[in-house]
Amino acid sequence: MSGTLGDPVRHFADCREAGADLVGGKAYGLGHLTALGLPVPPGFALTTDAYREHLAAAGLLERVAALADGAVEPAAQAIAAREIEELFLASSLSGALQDAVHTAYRELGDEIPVAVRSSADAEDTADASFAGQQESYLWVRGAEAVTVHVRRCWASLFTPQAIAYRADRGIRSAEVAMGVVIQQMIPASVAGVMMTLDPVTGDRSQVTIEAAYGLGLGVVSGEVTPDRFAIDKVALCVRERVARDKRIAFAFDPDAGEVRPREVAQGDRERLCVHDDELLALTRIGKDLERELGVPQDVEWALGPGEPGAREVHLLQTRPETVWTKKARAPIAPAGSSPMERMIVTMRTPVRLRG
Amino acid sequence: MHVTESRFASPFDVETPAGAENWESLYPYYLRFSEGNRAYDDSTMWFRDALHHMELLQPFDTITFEAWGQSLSAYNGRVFAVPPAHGIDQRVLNGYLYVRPVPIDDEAVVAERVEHFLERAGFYFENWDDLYARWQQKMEKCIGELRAIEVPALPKLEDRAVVTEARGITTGFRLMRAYDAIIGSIFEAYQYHFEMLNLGYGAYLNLFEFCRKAFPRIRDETIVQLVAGTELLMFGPDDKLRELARLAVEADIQERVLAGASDPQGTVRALRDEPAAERWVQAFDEAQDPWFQFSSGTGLYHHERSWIDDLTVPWSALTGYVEKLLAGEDIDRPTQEVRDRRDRLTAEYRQLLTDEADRDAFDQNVGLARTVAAYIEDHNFFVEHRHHTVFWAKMREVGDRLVEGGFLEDREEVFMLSRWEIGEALYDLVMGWSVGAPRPGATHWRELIAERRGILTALSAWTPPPALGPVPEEISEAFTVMLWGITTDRVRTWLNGSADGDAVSGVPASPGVREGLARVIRTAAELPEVQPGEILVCPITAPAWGPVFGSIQAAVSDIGGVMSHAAIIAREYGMPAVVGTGNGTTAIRTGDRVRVDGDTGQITVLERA
Repeated sequence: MSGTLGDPVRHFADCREAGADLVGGKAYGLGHLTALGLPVPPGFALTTDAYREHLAAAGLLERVAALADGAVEPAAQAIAAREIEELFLASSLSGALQDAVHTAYRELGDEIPVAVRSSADAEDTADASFAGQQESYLWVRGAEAVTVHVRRCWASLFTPQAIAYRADRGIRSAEVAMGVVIQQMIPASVAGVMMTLDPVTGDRSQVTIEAAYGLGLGVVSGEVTPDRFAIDKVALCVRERVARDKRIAFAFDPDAGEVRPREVAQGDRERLCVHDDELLALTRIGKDLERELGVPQDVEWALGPGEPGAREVHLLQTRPETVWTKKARAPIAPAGSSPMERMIVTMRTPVRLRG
Repeated sequence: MHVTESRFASPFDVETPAGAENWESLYPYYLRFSEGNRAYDDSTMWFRDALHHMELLQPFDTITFEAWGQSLSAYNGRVFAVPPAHGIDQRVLNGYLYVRPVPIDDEAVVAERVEHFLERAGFYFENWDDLYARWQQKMEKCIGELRAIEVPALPKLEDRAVVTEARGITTGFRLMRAYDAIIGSIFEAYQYHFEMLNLGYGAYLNLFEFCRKAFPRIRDETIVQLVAGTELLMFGPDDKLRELARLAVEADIQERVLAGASDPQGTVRALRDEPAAERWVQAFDEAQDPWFQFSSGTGLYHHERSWIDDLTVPWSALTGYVEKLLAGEDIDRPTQEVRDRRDRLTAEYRQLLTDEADRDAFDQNVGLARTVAAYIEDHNFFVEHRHHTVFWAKMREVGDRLVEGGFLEDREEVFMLSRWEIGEALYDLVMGWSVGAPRPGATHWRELIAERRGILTALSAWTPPPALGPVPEEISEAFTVMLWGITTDRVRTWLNGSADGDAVSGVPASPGVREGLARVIRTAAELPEVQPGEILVCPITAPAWGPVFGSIQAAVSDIGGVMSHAAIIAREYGMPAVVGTGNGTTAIRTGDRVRVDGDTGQITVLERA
C-alpha cells in the first residue's frame, strides 16, 4: 500500500517516513504511534502536496492569494475568509485525487464514520491556534462527505484570524499548506487527554490524565469539566483521582445524524469515569511514546465501548509538550558538590510549621 | 472548622486526671515539667512521642527512652556536631512521653560545627562497612557480658569457698553490683545504637531531598523502594519459621504443629520424644539463638515478651505457614521481585534526569543510602531484640531477689519502681541480709506499689494531647521531621483536631489496593487472632510482627511514617500499607469490610461489621 513520493494519500504506517512537512504534524504524530505498534484507529493522510496540487488544478492559486494577501483590515479579512471558503467548497477535486481519497476511504470500511481533521506542521506553536489548524469534523460518513470535509479543512487555513496572523508577520499565503487526516471514528465511551508529566511542577516522573464521557471533544474544547487523575509513571500507581461533575457527553446522535452533547445520567455524573487498570494501560503507552519520541507528550486518547476496566485504549493524536520542555532547568545538585555537603544543606533547611 | 491557633495547651495548664494525684512520684524529677525550669519548659512545642513510646509508662520503662535520649543527643550534639541541632529533650506528663528537638540558633556556632561534621561524619561514611563490622563485634560483646551477669540469691550463710578462696567479696555486694551492671548494659547498648544511626538517616535524607527536588510529586514510599531488597538479619526470625514449617510438612508432623497452638511449649516437649521430629527439633533448638530472641513488640517495654519467652506469636505464624504449604501456596518472600522493582525504579528515575551532574549526584545518593540500609534496619535486631530480650529477663531475676526478700509479691512488680528506686530497695534488702534485722522495705514498697496501681489506672483513662506549648515558626532538626513526621500539615491537623470520625487516611507506605475484613489488634498478645486474608489494623506495627505479614493482605497503623519498620516489611512482602492514620484503631472495627489504598493513603470502610 506504500506509495511513491508523489502519492497524495499516505497511510498512517507511512506518515513517519513521509515527514511532518509532507503530511502535517498531526499525521506525522499518528505515523509515529502506528510505527510503534500502538493502538491507533486506522486512517490515512492527504499530503500538503495534494493541497497545492488542488489549488493549481482548480485554478484557485491566484484568487486565494489575491483575497488573503490583499486583506489588511479586519472587516476585509472576514470577507476574504468567507469568499475563500466558498471558493474551496465550490471547487472539485481532480479525478485522480478524488479516486485516491475514495479508494483509501473505502479500504477503511464500508461507509464507516471517520474524523476529518486538519494537519498542519506547526501544531506546537502559537500558529496552531491562530491559523485555525485545529479543525476537526467528526462522524463523517460516505466518500462524498469525506471530500467535502477535506475542502473544509483546507479552507480553514484561511479563517479571519489566520489571515490576520499571517498579515502581521508578512507570511504570504503561497508559503502555507495543509495536510488532512482521515481517521476511523471510535465510538468512545470515555475520552480525554494525557500529559506525560505533571503540568504544575514539571515532574517528569508523573502522568496527568483528564477524562470525560463520550468523545474527547468535550475535554479538548473545555465544555466538560473532566475527571483528573495523577499517575506515578515510574512507580506505576494512581496517586490521585478527582471526580468532577460531568454533566454532558458528546456522542453521535443517529436521529440528528451528527455529534451532539447529551445529558449524562445523574448517577454517573460524579463517578470516576476511568478504571485504574485503564489509567495504568494509558500510562504505559505514554511512557513508551515519550521514550521513543525523546520528549514529554500531549496525547489524545479514547476508550472503546465495554465494561470499565476492560475497554480498549485508542490513541487519536500525540504532540510534544512544550511548556516544561522548553524551560531551562537548573541542576538540582550544585556541580561538584559532595554527598556530605548536600547533607548539610538539607539538614540546615528548616521545616516551617507556621504561616 | 479550621482554627488558626498557634499554640497547644501549656504543660503547666494540663490537669491531673482524678485519682492520679501524685503521679509525678512515679518518675524521676528530671522528667517532669518543673516550675524551676519553666522559662525553658514553657517556651516551645513538645510533641508526644507516639512513634516509640505510645503507651502509658510504668516507672521502670522510662529507662529505654532515657538511654536513647542521652545517646542520640550526645552523638548529635557532642560527637558528630550535626550542624543545626543538639539533641532531643524529653519530659513525662501524666505518664506519657513528650519530646522536642533542641536547635542551635547561633550561626557562627553552626558554621563551626559544619567543619567538624564534615570531618567526623566523613570518616564514618568512608569506612562504613568496616565500622559496621566492628559495631557488630561491640554489640556481641555487650550482649555476651549482659548474659554473663549473675544475679545471685542471698544465701543464709556464704559458701565456704568465700573463705577458702579468700574471695573478699560478699553475695550482697555482688547483687548490688549485678544490678548496676545490668543498668550499665542498657545504657551501653544505646551508645552503640546511635553510633551510626543518625549518620545513616543523614544518607537517607540526602536521597529523599534529592528525589523530592528532582521529582516533586514522588512519594516517600517510592524513594524508599530504591534501597529495598537488602538481605537483612531482621528477616531471619521469620525465615526460620518458614524453614520450620517446611520441615514440619516434610517430617509429616504438620498435624501436631497445627494442633499445638494452645500449648506450643508442651508441643515442642512432646515432639522431642518422636524420632520423626528429630530434624525439626534440632532446627527449632538452633533457631533459639539468636533468631527467637526477638521481641513481639518494639522491645522498649518490659511487658513485650520475646519469642524465646512466649511462643504464642511465632507459633501462630508457624501454623499459618504450614496451612499455606498444605494449600500448595508459595511461602517465600518475594525477594527477587523486590530487587527487580528496585532496579527498574532506579534505572527509570535516572533516565528521567537530563543533567549529567544530577545523574552523578543521584548515583552517589542511592549508593550511600544502600550502604547504610543494612545498619538502619538491623541495628534494632541487635539492640531492641537480642539485647533487650536478655535485659528484661535479667531484670526479672532482680525482681525474684526482691520477692525472696519479701519486698515484692511478684517479680513483675519490679517494673513498678524506677531504676533509682530499685537501687534503693536492693541496698535495703542487702543491708537487711547483712545486718539480720527487719527492714522498712518489707512494707514501704508494697504500699507504694498499691498506690501506684491506682494512679496508673487513673492515668490510663486520660488521652494525651498530640502536642504541648507554642508552635515554633520552624523546626530545623531534620531527623525529627523524617522520623516523627513533624510537618506543617501534621501540626495543623493536630491543632484542628480530626474532622471526621469515619474518615481514615494516612501516609501511603506501600503500594497497592486491597479489600478485606479488618482485624483490629492492639497488642502482640492478640496477634494469634489474625485470620489469613484479613487486613491488620493496629496502633503501631512492630518489626517482630513480621510473621503475621505472611498471612494478612494489607496493614494499617495509627502511627509511623514510611520509614517505620512495618512499612518496610510491608514493602518487602509486596502488600499495601497505610501508616500514621492517627485514628485507624478507633475508626475501624474488627469485621468491617475495608479497602486499603496504599497508593493514596485512603482507607474506606465499605461495610460495617
